[in-house]
Amino acid sequence: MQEFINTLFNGLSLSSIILLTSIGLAITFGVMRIINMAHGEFVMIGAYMTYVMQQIFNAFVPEAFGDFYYIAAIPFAFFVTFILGAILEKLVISRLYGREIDSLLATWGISLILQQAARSIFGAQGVNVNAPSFLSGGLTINGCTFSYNRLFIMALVLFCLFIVWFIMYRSSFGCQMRAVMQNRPMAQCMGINSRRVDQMTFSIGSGLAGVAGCSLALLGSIDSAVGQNYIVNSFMSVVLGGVGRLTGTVLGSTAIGSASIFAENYTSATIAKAIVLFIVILFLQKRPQGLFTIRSRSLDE
Amino acid sequence: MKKQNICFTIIVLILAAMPILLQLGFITASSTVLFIGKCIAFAIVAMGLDLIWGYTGILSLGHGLYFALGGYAMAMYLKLQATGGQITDFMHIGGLTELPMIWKPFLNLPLSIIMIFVIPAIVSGLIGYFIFKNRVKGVYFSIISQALTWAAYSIFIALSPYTNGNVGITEIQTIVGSIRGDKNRMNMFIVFYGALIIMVLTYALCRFSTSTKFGKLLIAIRDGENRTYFSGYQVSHFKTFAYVLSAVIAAVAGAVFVNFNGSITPSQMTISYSITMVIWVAVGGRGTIIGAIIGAFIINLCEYNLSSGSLVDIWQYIIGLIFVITILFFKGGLVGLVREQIPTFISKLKNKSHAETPVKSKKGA
Repeated sequence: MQEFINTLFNGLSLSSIILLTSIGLAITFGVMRIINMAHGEFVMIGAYMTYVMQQIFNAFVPEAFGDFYYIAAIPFAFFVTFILGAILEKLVISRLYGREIDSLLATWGISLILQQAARSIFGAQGVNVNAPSFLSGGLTINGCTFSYNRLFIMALVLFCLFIVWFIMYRSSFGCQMRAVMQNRPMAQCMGINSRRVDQMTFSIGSGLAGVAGCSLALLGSIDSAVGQNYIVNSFMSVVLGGVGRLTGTVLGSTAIGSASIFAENYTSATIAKAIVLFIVILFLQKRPQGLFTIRSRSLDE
Repeated sequence: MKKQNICFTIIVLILAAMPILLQLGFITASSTVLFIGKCIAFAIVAMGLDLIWGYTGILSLGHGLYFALGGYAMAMYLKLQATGGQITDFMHIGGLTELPMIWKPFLNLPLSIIMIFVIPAIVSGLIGYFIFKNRVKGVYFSIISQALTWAAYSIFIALSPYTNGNVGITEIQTIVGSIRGDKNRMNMFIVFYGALIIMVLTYALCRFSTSTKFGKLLIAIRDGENRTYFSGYQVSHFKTFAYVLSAVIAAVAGAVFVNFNGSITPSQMTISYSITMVIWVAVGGRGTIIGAIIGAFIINLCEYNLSSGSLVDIWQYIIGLIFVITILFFKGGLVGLVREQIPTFISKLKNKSHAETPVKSKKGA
């Protein structure tokens, strides 16, 4: 029982990280039909920004407030990746309208550049952030230990999920966003500035990747490939969950995350990857468009 | 279309001259010829990738897997040749006492060569059948092919008693024996010309299949999949067949590659290696077989010359930028640049100088 709960906790923890990286992917893919291969690098940038914030606090802020660097790092990482996302959208993505596969490749080129830039700036060796003291240790209930930093990450993910839900379903911008998602030409006819919606969506998606990077910084050392480890799983959960609905992304990433942890627990980490892939392919036999889709009558969706 | 063949002939002639130049002393290092041999393998896999991406419009981000499958099949045979059919060191370390079943077919050459074709064909056939049957397409397929490579990579590392994990299969010679050193130069030439012949055959196969009705259908699928469906063609079968064909070509390329490289490692089946192959095709020019070959040679020769020493860091920036710029502005790659963009640019310049009279006459009409 104890082992089961621990596995479940680890599964949920991995799921929540995958969820945080895949929300951004899912909304950009839903609105713009673009798979951003550089998303993993935005995660990496977010993680490095946490490190930068820590260095800044170490240099300029009295030690008593040193722990608050992490609280400051989250909005900072969001802001930096938000701006970078806006620039990338302006320079590259906006030129690739209706060319889904080309945009995937172009963003891969961007990711090569960003990875090398990270290596040039921060060195090839990984860097570490010191987890703030209020996140060290864990909560022990009936012999099951739940570490605080993982609990914190889950709370952070829930918070981000709430924000995204609020933006998507309770704001006028979200309404425009969903309209563009469902039927772009019709939304344009109704006077929605779809260019602006695209820009905002892409930037918000990138910003969320930055926040995800912040949470990854708590779990291990940061190097230029830190985003890559999670990104394949995130892509898979977008495929599994379908695009256009937040529920799909949540269920998709929960399924991928728990499946890989459970499979890993009973077999090995490598077999787990194969099992998860197998499940996804099997699932797509039943529903080629993923769990949740916006129903439409058009042929090419 | 004829121009393509002429261009290909020129490339083949230049390549064929390489060993002769080495023999005459114009090229000093034999490693250069070995490297060009590897480039031939890359050109072969690029042709296969072009068949499925440039012609059929399916972007596979997992061709490194098939490349490595062919490479491993070849390397397993060569390794057994090197050990004389005995079990290898890494199997000893992995705790195996006799040759595992999976290695047995690689004891003799004809069976190994059959395996180079059969294993990737089965893997790609199954994947292709199940994925294309349900009209999973576009980026969805790309993501799944990427995940497939990712899973296969970790499996190859995990099964280290059978595959030697991260290190891969090393210390192997070629199909005709050692090619290192001056004594064995004849062997090197045999392998080199053998690879060249395989490249010519692959080119002929690709040209043949794209110029027949089959090739036209692939283009039809790329440009209007639903229309092709409604015209009564079973699109998924054609897609699967094209996918299998390109996987087998990639495997053959892998087998050629091993002969020149002297080892095969799981890094040849990573996602980034697979996408590098896509970069070759994109830069050379998708949708033209010759473009794939040119792209593979140019990118690899640039990398060979630039990525040594202090330029390693800069190379990553360069390749990333080249790729992004190609995708953004030169959809047809180098071939498209020469064939379409430069002629239109020149005719625009010409029109500008004669702009006055034609515009006026049009208005008058």
